[in-house]
Amino acid sequence: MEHKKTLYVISKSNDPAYNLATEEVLLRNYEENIVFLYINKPSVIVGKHQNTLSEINLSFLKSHNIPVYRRLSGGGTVYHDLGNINYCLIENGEAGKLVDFVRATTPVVEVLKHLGINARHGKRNDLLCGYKKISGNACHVYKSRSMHHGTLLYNSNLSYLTESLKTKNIHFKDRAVKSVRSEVENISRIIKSKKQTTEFLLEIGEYLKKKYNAQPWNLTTKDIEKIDELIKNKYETWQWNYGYSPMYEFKKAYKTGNYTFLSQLKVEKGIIQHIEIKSNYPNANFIKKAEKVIHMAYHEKEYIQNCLSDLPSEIQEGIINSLF
Amino acid sequence: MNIPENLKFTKDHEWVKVDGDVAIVGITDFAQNELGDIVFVEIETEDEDLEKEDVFGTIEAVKTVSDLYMPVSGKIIEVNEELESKPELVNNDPYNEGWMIKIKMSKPEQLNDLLTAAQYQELIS
Repeated sequence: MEHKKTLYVISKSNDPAYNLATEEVLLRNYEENIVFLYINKPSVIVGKHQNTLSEINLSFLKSHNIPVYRRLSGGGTVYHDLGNINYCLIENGEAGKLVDFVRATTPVVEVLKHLGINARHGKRNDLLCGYKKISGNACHVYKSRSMHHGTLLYNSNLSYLTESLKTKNIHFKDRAVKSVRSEVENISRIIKSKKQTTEFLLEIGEYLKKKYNAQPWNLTTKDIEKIDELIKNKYETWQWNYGYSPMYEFKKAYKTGNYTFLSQLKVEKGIIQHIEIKSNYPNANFIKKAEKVIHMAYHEKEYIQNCLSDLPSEIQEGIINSLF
Repeated sequence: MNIPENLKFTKDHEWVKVDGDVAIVGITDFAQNELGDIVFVEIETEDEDLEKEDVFGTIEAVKTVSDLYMPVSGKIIEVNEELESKPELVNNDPYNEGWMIKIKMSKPEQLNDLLTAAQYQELIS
């Protein structure tokens, strides 16, 4: 990034949709190199080509009000919260020579070393301290601009992180990009720091600002308009966050009382294109009716619950649990 | 680095093979090598009419998502469905089995703007 004008932006929001939309605007609508730092409230962020439902612990996320978002870059699923710092480095370069994780994240390794953390590059483009992962990275290339972004676990809730990403992916069959689990650690524990996460973010920011000779920059009114539009039409939509998942097949059995339910689905763009439910429930008409209302429905729990609301409760329970 | 003489190239590291008014498109050996293991190819633009430099799909390799650009304008008449289940074909055989789309060209004169094998060689060296 040296020798070119660089802008330095710190997000004023903890809303993941806002920050993902901001990354997109900074990548596509600016010409400068950019350092953008932000912290998200608890949320799960999946990679561009992942199957959302197969990467998350849906019931845990629902019961803890943790939303899920899809990002533009590749790679696997990550958990964010107020103890996690996100850095986003956007740079111009020659097409074909844009993707170099080691080069892109070297300044981050430098600043971590400067702050007392013996960080190093891992094999999966992540940053490690010892053998534990403290940072995951992903990239998106847009024309001759690349956006490298990464997480920095500073003081995250690691049990929530683990629980959020505990999956039931044995039920899914697809070609989507799969996450690779790693052992993780918080930086604040490694360096025994009592500093707030925001304070640590500013220390990192100041170092990067100096390194790139970056100018502080505030988003313009026009940027904010674009961001709001992207939030509304993309980052807060079920179609992008879930529906965009590559085609998958789903198969799961559930037993309630004396009845068993075995559902098999084929889902494309979030819509159930094919459904077959096998059950020993005595009144087969109810099962046929359920299949009919679920066919072409979204593979979304509340949506299907509504579709089934006319059926006996034991069928509702059995089928819902065989679908998620 | 394999750069077949009979193909045309773009600065975005795509190759074009001309067959009458149809252009067959893929990414170069250099590009697949730079990207590393390709894990996902997403092309959902079949039957669409697109302009030169429009995005026709995306490709993911080692956590990096890159856009794929139309080398010439035209209608996408065929997509290599094999890549959905075998994205690694792009790594293993970028100029044959790893082809991505076939374009029925609307402005074949745009072929003149593409690079020759020698020019592409110069670009990447």
